[in-house]
Amino acid sequence: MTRFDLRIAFRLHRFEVIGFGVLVALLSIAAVITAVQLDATGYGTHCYTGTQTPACEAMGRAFWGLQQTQVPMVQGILVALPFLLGALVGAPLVARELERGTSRLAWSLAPSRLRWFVVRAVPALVVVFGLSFVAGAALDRLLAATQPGTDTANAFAGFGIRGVVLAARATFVFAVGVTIGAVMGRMLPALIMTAVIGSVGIAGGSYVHGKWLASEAVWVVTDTGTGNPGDLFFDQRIRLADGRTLTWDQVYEASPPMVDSTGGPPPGSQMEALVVPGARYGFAEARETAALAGASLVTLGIGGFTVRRRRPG
Amino acid sequence: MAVALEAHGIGKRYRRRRPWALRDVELAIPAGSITALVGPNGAGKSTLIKGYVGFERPTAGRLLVDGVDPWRDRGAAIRRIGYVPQAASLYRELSVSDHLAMAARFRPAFDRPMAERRLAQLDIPLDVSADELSGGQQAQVGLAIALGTRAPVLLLDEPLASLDPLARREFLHVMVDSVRETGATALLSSHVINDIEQACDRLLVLGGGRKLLDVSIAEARATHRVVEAGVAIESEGGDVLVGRFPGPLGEPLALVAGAGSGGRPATLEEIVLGYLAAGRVRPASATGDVAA
Repeated sequence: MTRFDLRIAFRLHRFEVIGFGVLVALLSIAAVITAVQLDATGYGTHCYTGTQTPACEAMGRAFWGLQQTQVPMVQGILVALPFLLGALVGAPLVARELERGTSRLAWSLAPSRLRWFVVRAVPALVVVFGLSFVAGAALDRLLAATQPGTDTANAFAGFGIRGVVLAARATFVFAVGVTIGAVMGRMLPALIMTAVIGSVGIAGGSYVHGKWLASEAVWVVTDTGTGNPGDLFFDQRIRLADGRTLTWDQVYEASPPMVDSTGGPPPGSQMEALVVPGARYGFAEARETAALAGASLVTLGIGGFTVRRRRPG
Repeated sequence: MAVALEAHGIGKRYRRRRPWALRDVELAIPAGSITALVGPNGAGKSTLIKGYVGFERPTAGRLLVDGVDPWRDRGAAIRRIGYVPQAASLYRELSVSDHLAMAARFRPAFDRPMAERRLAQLDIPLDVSADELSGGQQAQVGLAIALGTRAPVLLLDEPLASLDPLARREFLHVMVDSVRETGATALLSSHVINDIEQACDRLLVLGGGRKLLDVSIAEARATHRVVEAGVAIESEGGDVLVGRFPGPLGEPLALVAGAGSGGRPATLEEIVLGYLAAGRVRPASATGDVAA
């Protein structure tokens, strides 16, 4: 990979790179500004753990005002942008060459189509991952501001739509797009199929990882019923004073009902939550990122194989 | 005689139940020749050229470029080929200079100064993007790239199709000059017989996926005559009826091959028309009367 290769890659994709680069930069700045605004409200754990003071009420109004207006808008667009970037850079990468016929020139010059493919795909992959990573980092910062008192580096809140996992997911969509584009050879159908297959792939991977995390969950005693802030919650049960464990349904269906006068768990019992502790977030994040990186590499490998074998359109 | 392009029993069918695009084609194109590849649409011209570039895998038989099978060792075959596709296939986002640099990146032996010189002779600026060039200029850039590779084999897949007469003339002039200078072998697919006559020394006619004629143009001229339909062919002279075709005014004519003396010498266009007609209405190999 030479400077010339990078320059050519940029020239071929400058609209996407500049357009998405500007969008990601603007929205990341907006996310950070919103985070600073949230921090500046002063609203924190002291406002919802003790008695509400007039000052806390004012801070809460400002905090929740931002949470209901600015945060969802910035967060929504910034989360969607990396997936759009992955699809819009990935699907046309080879498909456009096949559709316009430039692959005929390039493949008649390049003794190795695989090398041609690597030279085309790698700079685009770096751009997609890099811009998505910036978006993920900005979303990390925004999430931290929306969860005062929570160490979001050790919390499952927003798993998959922030940090490096977001970048890995966008990279996977990119790889799917490149390969589908190489197979179909037409941009628009490839883009549509990338949206479908990429979404199914991400949702499927997320489901499998969710099941995997569920198998690693542990029961912890909890006051809140959902574990500690940042834990990934799955289930809840009541441990009675005699050591038996019951679900809420069993507690209510018991005759006579075992709930206390306020509808809470029976006296002497403890609530337990099935959770993956927030401290495992870093590990879960690294695992999903590695799995997505592997899936992206395999998918790009299929794309490279397709390019080696197919007609140039 | 060294052979640059070979085909041994080559056949190509795009789908199992579809007709053959090429069938049982045997070829041995001599090194240093400029061969015109002629045939109607669907004759298999592009399929044959794409097979040599490694873009199409033969269903049967074997192709060789300078002794290398492009499907078994595509890299080695590509290094021996300069290819000009039908449409210029340039990147509209890149300048002419970028295209030359890209070619040099893929082919370390690319002769960039030579390519730049040729483009300068044609007043094609290097710093403009490809989409600012006319069709003729784009074709010239494609040709300059192919010639710049200094490949021993040049494959031109109907590059003249969309060019005006002047651009066609310039294109052929540059191509012939360069091929004669370097001693390369060229295979030029085209519909325009006049252009072929100026540029080529061999004629290869394909029809219905089969080889109909493969000779030098001089030999083709020397051994073919045109007679009016209805005139008896001298069978003792060994004349063979090739095919019937309409003349410029619609009069029925017949192309005959052989050493007879009837009729008049055939033009290259008439030779091609006769064989194309033969390819369309099979079989047409009987010696005898050509009365309509």
